[in-house]
Amino acid sequence: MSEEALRKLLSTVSGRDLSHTGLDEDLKESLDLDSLTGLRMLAAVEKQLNLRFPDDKLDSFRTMNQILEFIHRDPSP
Amino acid sequence: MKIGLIAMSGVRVRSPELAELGVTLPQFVSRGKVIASLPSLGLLTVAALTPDDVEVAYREIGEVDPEAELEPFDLVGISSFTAQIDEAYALADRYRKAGVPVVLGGLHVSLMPEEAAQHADAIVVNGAEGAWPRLVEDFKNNRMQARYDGLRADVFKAPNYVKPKFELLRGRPYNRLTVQTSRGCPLRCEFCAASIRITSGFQQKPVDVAVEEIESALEVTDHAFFELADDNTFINKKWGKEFLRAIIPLGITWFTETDISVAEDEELLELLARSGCRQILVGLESPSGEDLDGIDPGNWKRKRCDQYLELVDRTQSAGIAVNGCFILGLDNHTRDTFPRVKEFVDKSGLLEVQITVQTPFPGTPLYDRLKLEGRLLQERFWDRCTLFDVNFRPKNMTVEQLEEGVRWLFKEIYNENEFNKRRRHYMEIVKSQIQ
Repeated sequence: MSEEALRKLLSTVSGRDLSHTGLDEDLKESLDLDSLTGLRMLAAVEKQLNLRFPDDKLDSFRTMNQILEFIHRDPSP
Repeated sequence: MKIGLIAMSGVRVRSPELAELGVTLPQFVSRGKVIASLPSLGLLTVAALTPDDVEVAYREIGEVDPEAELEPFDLVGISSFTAQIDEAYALADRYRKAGVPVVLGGLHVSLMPEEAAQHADAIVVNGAEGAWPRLVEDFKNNRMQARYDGLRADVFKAPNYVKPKFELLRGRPYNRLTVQTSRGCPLRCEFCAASIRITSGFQQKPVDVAVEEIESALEVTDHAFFELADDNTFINKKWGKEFLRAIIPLGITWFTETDISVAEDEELLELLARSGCRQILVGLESPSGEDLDGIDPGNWKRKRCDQYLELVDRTQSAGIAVNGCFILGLDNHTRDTFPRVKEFVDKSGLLEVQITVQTPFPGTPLYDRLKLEGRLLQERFWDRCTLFDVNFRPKNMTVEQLEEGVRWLFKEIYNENEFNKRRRHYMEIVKSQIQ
């Protein structure tokens, strides 16, 4: 998934404009998101890419770069 | 003239074992932080009821340094719940000693007016509507009385209604704002110590008024999450649907407290999801109907109990997470109740769970009954009205067994592994809804 595609997906789920959000910015803090919206964003990535973030590390995916790193490390389709 | 309005806030636990345990449990900590960081809607309403020629400052107790010099005001108003009331009295005593008159109000003061009057120059009983404007006028004219009784009815009708002064929150770091759409709840559970105690019946704001309040609150924040400060928002389903349709265009996300009957109405559930409702907090109280016998006069909860699992599932499948609340120490509870609660939580897939101890708040029917039965452990225990400390003798177990059972449930339900399992269940529901 490209950076642009991730931005678009997270924007759709959160209803927020992510076009100026830095790749290393904490999404919950910079967008003032509630924890459930944060979970919904990760769920959307999982669904789109058919992958699964580790249940015990969900809190560690706080920035777009962290999500992208996981996506590109995970070999599942 | 400047009036300082001070809100007591925060979650407190007196039992050292539970306090120690609590800070290590992820879900307990996160909900505690949320509650501690909510603004005081009551004092924002008091501010709005204050005449325009009087300056008002809104403060929260965390901003009042107990060691520092008191901030200078001509009059101080303090609002507090029961668990923090002794801290509120201490602050009131300090101000009065410094020559600043103090007014006390809020739920505890309304239920224990004689006690509160010992620490105040004036008290406000019930809501501030119908009382505060008179009080300020009297204060200006040096004739402030010792007690002002606010209205118990028609508080949302002209000329009594005012929109809370949300602009006082501008620039403050809240991630949740509160708006109240109703006061009271017709279920009248025996233990309830919420706004039901200061209102003569269920009162609901007209939809346009409630929506206008949300719009006003939105002006002071960019992306707030809203928490409806109601006892039971969706008692009236027709009102509920109208309200939800009206807030869909606002694009907010929000949370409220209501009863499980929302799940009996498919259209309501669909509107809840579309309007940005992320979670509802529901008082399930106990997993078995027999346990619930008599907790509300109409046995409403007992009648619904057999459907709890199905109704929770229906709500969460619509994309609305449920925070299921259980009260431990009901008269029909035994030591077997604790594993049954755990079993229910596991089966239900509840995203969040709130475990509390039945608490006889002064002024409630529960308090009166337990006092009459000689089952209160102390005469005065307000600082232990935390929802986590045991203040009465349970009927079918000992105090120690109840405390031990609650600690066991805390460990079983709030640990990292269980928390992760519930989160995963919620994520799978969300994924199943994505096209």
